[in-house]
Amino acid sequence: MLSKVITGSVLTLLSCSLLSAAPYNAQAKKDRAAMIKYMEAKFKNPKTAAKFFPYTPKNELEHNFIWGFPFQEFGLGDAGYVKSVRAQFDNFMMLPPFYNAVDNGEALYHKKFANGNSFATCFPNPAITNLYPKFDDKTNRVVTLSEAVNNCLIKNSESPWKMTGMKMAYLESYLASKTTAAGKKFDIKIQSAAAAKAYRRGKIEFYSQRGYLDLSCATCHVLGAGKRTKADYHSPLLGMIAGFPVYRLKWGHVGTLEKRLVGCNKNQGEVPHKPNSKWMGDLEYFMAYMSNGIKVNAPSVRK
Amino acid sequence: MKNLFNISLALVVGFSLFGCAKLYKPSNQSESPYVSVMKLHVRDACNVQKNGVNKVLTLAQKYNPIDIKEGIEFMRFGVPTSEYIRATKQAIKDGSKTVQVYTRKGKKGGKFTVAFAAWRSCAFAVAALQQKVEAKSTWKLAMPGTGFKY
Ligand code: HEC
Repeated sequence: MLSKVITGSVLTLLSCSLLSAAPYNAQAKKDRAAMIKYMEAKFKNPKTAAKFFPYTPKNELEHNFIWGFPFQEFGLGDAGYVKSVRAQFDNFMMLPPFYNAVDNGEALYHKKFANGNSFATCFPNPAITNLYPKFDDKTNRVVTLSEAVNNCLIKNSESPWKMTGMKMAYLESYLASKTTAAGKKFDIKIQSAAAAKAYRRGKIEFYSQRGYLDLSCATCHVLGAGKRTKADYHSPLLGMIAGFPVYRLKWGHVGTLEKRLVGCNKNQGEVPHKPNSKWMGDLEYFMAYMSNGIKVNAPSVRK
Repeated sequence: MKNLFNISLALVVGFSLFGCAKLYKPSNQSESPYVSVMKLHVRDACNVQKNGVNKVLTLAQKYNPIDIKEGIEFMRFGVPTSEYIRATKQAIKDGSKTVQVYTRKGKKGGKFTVAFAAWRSCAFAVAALQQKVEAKSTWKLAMPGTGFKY
């Protein structure tokens, strides 16, 4: 009898602790499922298009949209669903303009620091970009890929790099190309209460209207996914960071995710947040979680 | 047992007195800016003809530092709100009729009348904080799974 009571209470205790460990990502999982459901419904079928795109010319919907494309193609940004952009994209990928960015990055990866170590010491396996950002419970902060690179430099007594700069973009191009070659999917973890809070902050920032134009990121990349600003179609939040770093024709070179986010933030009409700010880390953490299950496909090309 | 009852009675009385004291506290200058800002209508509060340049600028200077701290300062074509405020004050000091603003990179960012620059300083400073407060409830409406209907 007594042993039964003891096993019973041990079991209860165990299940309680399991229960309290599991739900850190419970909300995020729900959010992601709801967002995927929306995006898939939106781009599924030209017959329901009028509901989602009441102001898009019918001609455009009929002739320039790719409907019901495979889930993984959400990782292509606006080339995922726009025929004309996809054609351009395919053209560029025949002779990718980011070729030497990957080569430059590989050289940086192996180059010795003054102390004899290298990035290969910090990242023995370079195929890791699908795991970033990570939440670090020790520093209570989101660590983006760029921050992890800088942490490695600092640990080895080197000066950190500019997160929007070329060296960062090159190295990340190499790491991302290795991750792509390994076929890895985004796999962002939320494993503590503090991590869940960072995710929630990022989510609220993404959905909050800001700047003198009163737009949220979601105005253009959730509700507005599939619509345009002038000639630029908005990429959907789902899979949105899978192509980074990207070679942008407008830039004429590869650039990091931080460089892009600073640009979009500025376009909203506010003083943009710093690339290494907590704000940026939280936002990226949220966006990356939303892309869980999408394959890294980087570097990539964008207009 | 009786003691316990007395203690809880004291607690109840104490809390209710405390609560009433709070209710009767007159609204004064220590009112949170997050509350006070929501009582403003930008078009009225930042109206230069009605309130005068100084009053409008004072309002801008009250809220802009909070915007900066919150990371929500408005910026148009590279010119942040704080630069509109600085340049307007400078123009008044110099007795100039026009306000020259500069971008964060130090380039010329446009010339405005004092009245317009003061209006923009105030409108941007106030609207940014109002937007932040409103977003506390409106963000959900944009999110599939919470409030966004389709
Ligand atoms: C006025 C609409 C608008 C707003 C608001 C906006 N963006 Fe963008 N964004 C664009 C356009 C247009 C592009 C270029 C086309 C594309 O790839 O979506 C873009 C591109 C991007 C990209 C690159 C996607 C890719 O595949 O290359 C990212 C990432 C991004 N935005 C994130 C954000 C974030 C985060 C916010 C909020 C801080 C935001 N955007 C706010 C319009 C907007």
